[in-house]
Amino acid sequence: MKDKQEKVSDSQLVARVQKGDKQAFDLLVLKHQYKVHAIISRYIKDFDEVNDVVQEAFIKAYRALENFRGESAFYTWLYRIAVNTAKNYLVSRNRRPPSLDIDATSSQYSEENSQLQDHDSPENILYKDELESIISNAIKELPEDLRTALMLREFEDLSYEQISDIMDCPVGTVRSRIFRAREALEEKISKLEN
Amino acid sequence: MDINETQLKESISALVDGEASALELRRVLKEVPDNKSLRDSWRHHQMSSAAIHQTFSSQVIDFSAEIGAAIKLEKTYGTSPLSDYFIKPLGRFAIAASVTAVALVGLQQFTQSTDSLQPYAAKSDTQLSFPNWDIRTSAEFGIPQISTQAVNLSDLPLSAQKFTRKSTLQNRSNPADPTREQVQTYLDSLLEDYQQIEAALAGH
Repeated sequence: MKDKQEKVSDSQLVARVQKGDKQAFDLLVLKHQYKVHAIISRYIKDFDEVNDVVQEAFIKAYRALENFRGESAFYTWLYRIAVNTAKNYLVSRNRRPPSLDIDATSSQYSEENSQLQDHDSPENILYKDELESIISNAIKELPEDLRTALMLREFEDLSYEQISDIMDCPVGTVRSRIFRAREALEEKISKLEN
Repeated sequence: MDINETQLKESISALVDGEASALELRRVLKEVPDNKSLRDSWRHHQMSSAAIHQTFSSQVIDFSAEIGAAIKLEKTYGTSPLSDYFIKPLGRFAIAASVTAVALVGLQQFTQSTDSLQPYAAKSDTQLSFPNWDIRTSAEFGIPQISTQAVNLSDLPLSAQKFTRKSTLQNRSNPADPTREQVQTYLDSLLEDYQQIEAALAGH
């Protein structure tokens, strides 16, 4: 559901990169780096090696972006590059890559393949749980109009216009409500990071 | 946070949802390099969205600075220095030069063709002299062998004299260098005159 708007957002940024705006690629990195890290860490166990391969994958993606025509979603395309980079890295180190792959949509969270398990430290798992808990509580504390707008956007994948119809308010108000809801969540994340 | 910063952050939020306009996107991208707060907002929105969907990766290392530094060394899409500073101007010059060359060659050929036709034109003048036209025209159109000399103009009614004079005047307008159109016009006028004269004589 959420893919549709993510594609719009990504395609906007990809188009900017292809027109020569390198800053747009920075936003794509910021957006997808955690996912790419997660998928590569399923192939490579060493933490430092994973970090190197993540960077290499993004640089390869940038070099190949010239030929990206948007036939698939940007993340799907990036996922393939990340997986191939990880496999090539293992081959170059005379290590055998896992024989089974996982698809892009379930890449981060699949528990099906024992060869491709996360190797998260207890601290990382704790951080993830804490973040999800904080966000969940922050959403509950939001004023109802902000919470409704954010939930319709995040869970129902509705456009601002559709939300404005449902909530019977202007699109600008929807946009503002979603922004304020996100600001409240961001405040919690900032505190957690600090 | 000032109004401008708030607007930028709202644009960032809209960009997360794919609802930012092209203008907003350009503004955000312009500000992002020097505005850590904006970059953090973008990153935090991605984190909160992932947390809401319980798809957050527990790895929270930010690689963007290292990757950004590496990307700076890569080529920039959309602009090619070779193309911008050498090939494009050269291309424009080549087009301009080609147009000029075609114009000059065309002008030269036109002049040559005009000059080369001069002997033929002179020859045509000789062949298409007016006395010959009269003879040919009469034969070709089946007109009886008459000429203006065979007709006593003073005996004709005024209307017939008028047509005859008109034809004669046209004949003399440019006798040395007749064009095809002029010849045709002359022949037509002769035929018309003849018909008018014949009609006038019949009525007389």
